Amino acid sequence: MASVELDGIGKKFGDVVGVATQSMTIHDGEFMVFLGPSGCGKTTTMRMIAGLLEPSEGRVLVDGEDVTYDAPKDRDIAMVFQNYGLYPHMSVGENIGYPLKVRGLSKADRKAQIQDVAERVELTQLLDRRPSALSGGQRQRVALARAIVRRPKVFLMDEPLSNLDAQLRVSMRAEIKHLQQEMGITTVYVTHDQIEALTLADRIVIMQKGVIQQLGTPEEIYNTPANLFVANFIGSPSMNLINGSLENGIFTAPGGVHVPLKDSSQKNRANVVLGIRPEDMSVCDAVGAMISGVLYNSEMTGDAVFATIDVGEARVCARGDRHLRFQKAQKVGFDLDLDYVHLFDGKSGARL
Amino acid sequence: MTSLSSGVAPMPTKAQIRRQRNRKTMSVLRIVGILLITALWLLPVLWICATAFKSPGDVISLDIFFTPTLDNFAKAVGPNYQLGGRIWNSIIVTVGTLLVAIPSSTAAAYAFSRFRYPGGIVWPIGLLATQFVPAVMIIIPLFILFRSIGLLDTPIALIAVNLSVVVPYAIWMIKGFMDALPMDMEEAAMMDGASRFRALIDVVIPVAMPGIITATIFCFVVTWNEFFYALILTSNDSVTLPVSLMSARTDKGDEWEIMAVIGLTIMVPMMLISRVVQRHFLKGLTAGAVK
Repeated sequence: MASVELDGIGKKFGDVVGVATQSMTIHDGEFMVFLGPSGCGKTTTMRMIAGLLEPSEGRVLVDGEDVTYDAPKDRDIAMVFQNYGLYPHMSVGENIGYPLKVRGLSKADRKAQIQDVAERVELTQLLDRRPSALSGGQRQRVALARAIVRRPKVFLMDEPLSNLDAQLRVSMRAEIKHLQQEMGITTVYVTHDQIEALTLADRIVIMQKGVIQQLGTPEEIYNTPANLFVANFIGSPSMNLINGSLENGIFTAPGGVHVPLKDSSQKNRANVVLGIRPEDMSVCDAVGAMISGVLYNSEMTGDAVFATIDVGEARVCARGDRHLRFQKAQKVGFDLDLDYVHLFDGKSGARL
Repeated sequence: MTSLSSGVAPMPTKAQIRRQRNRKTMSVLRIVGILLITALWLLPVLWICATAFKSPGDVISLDIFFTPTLDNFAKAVGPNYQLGGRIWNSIIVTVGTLLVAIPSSTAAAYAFSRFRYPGGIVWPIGLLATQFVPAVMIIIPLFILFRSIGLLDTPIALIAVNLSVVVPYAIWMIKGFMDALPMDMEEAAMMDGASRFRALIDVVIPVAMPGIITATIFCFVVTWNEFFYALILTSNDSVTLPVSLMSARTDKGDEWEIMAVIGLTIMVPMMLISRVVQRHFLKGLTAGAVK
């Protein structure tokens, strides 16, 4: 159990910036998720915590102790790899017991602890098998067991679920969350899957092009995105973004958008982006609606109907009751829940 | 081709019959071809085996039947040919070469495969480039060198020379295997608490074993058969088996039956080791399959 602090850490590969200088603190026992599209620097950051990659600048502190230049073995950090990184020439039991073997534990002690961990992840029947005889989910559990067997200070997981099928992913997700809460080990988890991030995390770091876009709880990230990138990246279907202008507390955009904002103190601006999630709108009569336009498409997903309308140059999608039905080229209106309207600067993308 | 009347097998068409006949002819032809090629390769070997057991008179006759004798072996082991000593020399040189070559090549291959350093690929290529120098060009300098440091006609000289031949190839073979190994495994080992060296011993080497064994067989064959350097650099004490073949060419003529005995001694260990190692080799291959 430990806190992890990144102090002005950065990584350059030649002239290419992998991770721009940044700092953050991961609290003791926290489940922190690094989220972002591929190549955003999330894995690079994690590898610097692990000690597999030396940072170009800055420091890594575990429990206040500078470990920036320590070898991975001296940091007491465990890691689960995307491709599991199991040892193919060892049995499952030997795989799990390897961290203990390296630490010089006797065979008897190892056996007891391997048994203990194997029970936890339901692998007791498979201890004598080779990894090549296991399914993807079982291999994943071996990798997990190997990581937790020695109760490390910090847990690192690099997209551990990305090689599993959808159903298994959901159950392993729950398993990981359960294990982490039970053991209370500080965890850093890298993923590009927002659902994984939102469901697992105590806090999320969203990164893009090596720069932290936002750091916050899943609620904060979802309800108050810090900029256009986060707003667009989180949520499925993604947030509607409408370019327009702000005057006297009213947002207008060409094609039938007229939104009187709750917070009328906003300054008048020409280039503003309004963001609203599909579920924060209700379908209503076109006449007098805040947003109105001609129906482009409607999709029944079972529990809801998503209606998309053309509004000027923009397309706006709203989540409606599952019993709603539309006619082709019908005029449709949306009313907005004004508590969840987001405004962004059109130029910088920052939240207003 | 589903039959319309179910339950009745459709009559084969003429084209089908022709195709089937063609296939049969092909497989017969293939077997005959394989047999011919096998015979071409195996006959000389069998001939040597037979010759080793023939009396000098039978050697030059073309009769297939002869009374086998062990005289040739007794003669080969005797003071004229000292086969026992020659075998011993060959073993010392080969084992000595392998003992140095394989561990050092493995370590070098790992370094070349995993670390970035100034010059990059220039170093391993440079290593291979040393093999562009023909043996005949450097044999005289080598001879003078070993003479001046008193290593002429010693196994050490032969081991040193063999190493210079074998190590570059071994490094490249093992490096190729290690390049193909995912980094995940050794990184996992390091995260699990192993030093880089421990990760190499515990994880990388066992998983790269098929490659290392392949390189070992290669080095063994090259060293065991090495003739030219041994011919020049040895005279009495350290003569190896391939060179001792030459001693059967006496001024009284070539003693074919002795040559056959020595030839057999050279071939048998190679065949045996290939057999044993092959089995290991295949085991290693399947054990290494992760995904």
